[in-house]
Amino acid sequence: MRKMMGPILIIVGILVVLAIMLVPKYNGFVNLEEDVNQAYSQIENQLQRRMDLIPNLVETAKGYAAHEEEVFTDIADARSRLAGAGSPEEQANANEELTGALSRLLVIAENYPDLKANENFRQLMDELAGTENRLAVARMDYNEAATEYNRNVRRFPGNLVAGIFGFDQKEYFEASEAAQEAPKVDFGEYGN
Amino acid sequence: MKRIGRTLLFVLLLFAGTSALAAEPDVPESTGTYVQDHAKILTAEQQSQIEEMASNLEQGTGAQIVILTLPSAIEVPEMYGVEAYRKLGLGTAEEDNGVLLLVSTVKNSSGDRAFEITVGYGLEGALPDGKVGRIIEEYGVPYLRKPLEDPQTAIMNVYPVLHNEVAKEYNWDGTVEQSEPYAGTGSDGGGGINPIVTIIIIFVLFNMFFGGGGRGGGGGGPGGRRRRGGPFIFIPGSFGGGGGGFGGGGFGGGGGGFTGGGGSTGGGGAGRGW
Repeated sequence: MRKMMGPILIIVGILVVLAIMLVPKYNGFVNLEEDVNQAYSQIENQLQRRMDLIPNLVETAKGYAAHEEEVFTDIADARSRLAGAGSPEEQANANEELTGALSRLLVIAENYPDLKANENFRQLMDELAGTENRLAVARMDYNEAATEYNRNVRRFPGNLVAGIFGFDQKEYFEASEAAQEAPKVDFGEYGN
Repeated sequence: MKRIGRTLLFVLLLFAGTSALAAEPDVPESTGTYVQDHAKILTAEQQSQIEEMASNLEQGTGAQIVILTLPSAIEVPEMYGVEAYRKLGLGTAEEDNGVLLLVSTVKNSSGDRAFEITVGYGLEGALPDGKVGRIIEEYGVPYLRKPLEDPQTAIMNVYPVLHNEVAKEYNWDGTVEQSEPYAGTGSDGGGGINPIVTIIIIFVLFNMFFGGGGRGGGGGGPGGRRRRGGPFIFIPGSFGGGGGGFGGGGFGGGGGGFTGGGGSTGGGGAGRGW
C-alpha cells in the first residue's frame, strides 16, 4: 500500500495542476464567446431595425411611384427571406439581397422629384442610412470578436480545452460568393 | 439620399475584401479640447465660445459634444466618424453620451467633403438619425453648399442646435441661443447625377466585370473583388479610446477642456457631403 501512494499522489498532483491550468482557459473561452454573442445580437438588432423601417419606406414611396411594382415586390420578398434566415451566412446573404433591392428603389426615386423632396421619405432615408452604417459597424465588431475567439479555439493548447468543452468555431457574418455575384450594381443614384 | 448609396457602395467594398478604409487618414490624437479644429475653420473667438458652451454642457449633463475638423479627404465619413468617436471616447463609458461633428475640407473621390454627425449609443433617443439629417439640412447644408461654401457658419449654427437637443434630453436648463433654420430649405434641389460620381460608378462597374485588377489609385478604388475574407484589420483596438486622459490643458476661456470618458457609438447619426 505504502508503495502505491507515491505514484498516485503524483498522478493526482498532475491532474490538479492540469485542472488549475484549464480553468482560466475555460473561463477565457466563456468570456470570448460572450463577446461574440453580444456582438452578434447587435447585428440582429440592426437587421430587425432595417426590416422595421421598410414597410414605412415602401408605403411612402408607393404614394409617389405606385406603378413601380416590381421593385416593391423584390423588397418585400427579400425582407421576408431575411426574416426567415437562420445562420449568420443565410442572414448575410438575405441582407445582401435586400441591399440590392433597396438600391434599385433609390435609383427609381431619382425619377420622382416629389418623392425625393418628401420630408418623410428623406427622414426614412436617413434612418435607413444610419441603420446601414450601424450594421456595418456591428458586422465589423462581430467579425473582430469572432476572429479573436476562433484564433483562441484553434491555437494550442486552447484547442484541447475547446475540444473537451465543445467550443466550436464561429461563423463570420459574410455573404457567400453566390450572393456577392448577384448583379446589384445599379447604385447610380449618387446625385442629390 | 446620397449617403445611403455611398454606404451601399462601402458595404460592397467591404464584401469585396478590400480595405477601402486603409486610405483614410489616421484620427489625430486628441488636443484635449472640445473643438479639435485641425482644418483651422473657426476663429479663436468662435473656438472659445464653443469651448465654453461644451464645457458647461458637460458639467450640466455629463454629455460631450466634440467638433473635429480635418484638412484631409474622408472616403467613408460615417465609418470614419465611428472610428474617431471611439478613439476620442466621447461621453462616459456607462452612458455613451457623446456627439461628434466631423467636418473635412478636402474633397474625396466622390467629390464630397464631409459634414458628418456621429451619435453615441446613449443619445440616439435624443438625436435619432432622421432628426440629425434634418438638423444638418436646415442649419448646415445651405451654408455648406454653393454659393456660400461657408463651413464656419454651418458649424456655428449646428453646434447650438445639438447642444440644446442634448440639454433638453437631460432636462437641463443650460440651453444656448441658436439661429433660425435657413429660410426655404427642404429640398436641396438639383437632381441628376454628379459627373464625378458617374465616373466612379463606371470605374466600379468596370472593375466588377473585368475583375481581378489591382487597386485603383487615388484612394478608395475597389480592388479585385474576388479577394474576399481576410480579417478586418480596420481599427485595431478601437474600443476604450478614452480612459487615460489626453494631456493638454483646456482651451482658454472654457475651463476644464475635454477628456474622453471612454464612451462608444454604434454608428448612429447622419451626414451630408458638401
